[in-house]
Amino acid sequence: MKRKLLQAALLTGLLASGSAIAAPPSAKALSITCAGCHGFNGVSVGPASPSIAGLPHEFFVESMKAYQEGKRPATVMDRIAKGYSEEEISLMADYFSAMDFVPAKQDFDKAQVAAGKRIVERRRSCGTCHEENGTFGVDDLPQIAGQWTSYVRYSLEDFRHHGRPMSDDKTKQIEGLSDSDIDAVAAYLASIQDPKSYQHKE
Amino acid sequence: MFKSNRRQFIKAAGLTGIAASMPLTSACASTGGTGKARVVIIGGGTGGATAARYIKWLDAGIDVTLIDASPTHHTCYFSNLVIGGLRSLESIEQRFDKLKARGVNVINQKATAIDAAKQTVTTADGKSHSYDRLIVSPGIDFRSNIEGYDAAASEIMPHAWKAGPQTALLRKQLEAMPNGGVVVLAPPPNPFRCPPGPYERASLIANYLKQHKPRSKVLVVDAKDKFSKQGLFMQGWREHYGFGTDKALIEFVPAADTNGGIKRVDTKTMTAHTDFDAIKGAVFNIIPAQRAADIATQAGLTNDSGWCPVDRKTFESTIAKNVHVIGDASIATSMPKSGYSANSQAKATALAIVDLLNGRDPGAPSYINTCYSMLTADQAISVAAVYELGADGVIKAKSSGLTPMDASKAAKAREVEFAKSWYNNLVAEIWG
Repeated sequence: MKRKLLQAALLTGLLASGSAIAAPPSAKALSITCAGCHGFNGVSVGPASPSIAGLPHEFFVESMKAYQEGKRPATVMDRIAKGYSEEEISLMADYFSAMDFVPAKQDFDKAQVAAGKRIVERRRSCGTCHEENGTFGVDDLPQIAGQWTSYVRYSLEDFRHHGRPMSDDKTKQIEGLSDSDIDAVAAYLASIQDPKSYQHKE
Repeated sequence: MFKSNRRQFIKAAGLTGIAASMPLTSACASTGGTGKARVVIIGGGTGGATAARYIKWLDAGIDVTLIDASPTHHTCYFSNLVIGGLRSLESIEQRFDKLKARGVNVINQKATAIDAAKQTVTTADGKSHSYDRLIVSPGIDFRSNIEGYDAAASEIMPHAWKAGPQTALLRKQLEAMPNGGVVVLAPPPNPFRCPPGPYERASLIANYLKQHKPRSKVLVVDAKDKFSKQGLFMQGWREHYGFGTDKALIEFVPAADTNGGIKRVDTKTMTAHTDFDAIKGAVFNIIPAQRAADIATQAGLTNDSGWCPVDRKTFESTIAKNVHVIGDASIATSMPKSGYSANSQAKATALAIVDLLNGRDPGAPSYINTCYSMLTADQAISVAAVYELGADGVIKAKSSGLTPMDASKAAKAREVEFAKSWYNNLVAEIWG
């Protein structure tokens, strides 16, 4: 309800002109401070910080909560997430989820792409949540194709070795992936750079 | 699908929001409705260039002029990697072409005077530049706390605390130094630009010595007893550079042992003097005490501390109206004098100035600082904090933290990759 009110306020420009002392910073004031690491407008130029433009609202909020609670392994994001209230996190989620995801322009090991594709295809249930070759996430999961390779690799390592929470189904898929398998999957996801792949399944 | 509908709704809301903030009123009250509002920015470093880009982005109708004496800017961040031989000087050189293409007027002149009453800036070519709002982001200059250390001495004993030729000079001296030579590194007293910088520099010089001049060492003779990220640095020095052993590549001498660090230098005999000792060295990196840069001092924007007091909501000077001071030169309470702080302050200031020029009250600001320090070529540590403006007008950390002391090698290797991402994204959003 609160978020709906905020969105309504944004719609009519009330939030931008609000000046009550108790009001939190605007979505823009909060969100543009992220750009130093995550790129102008949330599109990272890499090599490791992920792009956050186009992250689904729920995924953004849940990620920040998990960082706050120490449930997701982090480099600096655990320390940063603790600096924001629930309302502020929701404002930033509004800001970045309203943008389009932009696939990273990056090199990838072409020899590994085929191996990565085979690994993903063998694990059929990857595609039940990461549809359309990872360009569409079910249930507010983010797009994973076109994200920075190092970030994809760190994420898989965190799921496998560092206790990042995941579904039972995901556990089954990720168990048994070797380091070279992870590199291959990362290369495959990086290779999906065709903008046509990014048309949202609306 | 519900999700898609909602996302479309938010997108629509975002678009409407953008439309609502279009510069319908940038020919604002302060110019009597007769022309574009004018913002002049002194300094094309991180603070000034960020402000230029963001003001143009927030309101393309505002006339933005950026004044810098140099046609290029070398970032201080990552200049320690140049000194340590891990990057080239060219790789940290930034140009203003993209800012020009985005509609910023770039004037390649030294700003020589500010007249806050007439709202003008004078440049070395004698021209006068009128403003409605002025942003001063000039960085630092040095105090003369070390006898014998002046501009001429800095050509022999570089400070390398403004990146560029000084960085190249220190690198060249390290390369020319014989194996067995001592590098004397003198960090400044507080407050100063880039608090962890001298210790990252000691680390990366040691990293170079370890590979190329293993009989040499870095002798850190500090004007302080304690420093930023000290526990993490010393842990890293023990792990990588034999710190605390008789084969140490880094030795640390706190101020307490010398009664306040280096007091005098002699460039003829290549000696530095403390109250108790004469220290001989092959290379001297003398980083003097600091203050707000000359232009801020000359314009009377500083207080007794040598730095510029500001209203932390808008970074408007508490001394001169319509003049905003950001970055290292400003007094931003708990925010360190860092590149990321300057970037964050510039964005808050850009938002405030665009609001003010459009007749709106500025909203609440939000600030972040994130700062990585390299211990070796593939191990790094960091500090990160989020700040808010308190009701008392003081900037306070809402959260703050260092790399944990028990972080694994793999975690510190990731920090290097995030440090590179930090650099790439920062310079891309500012000058790219």
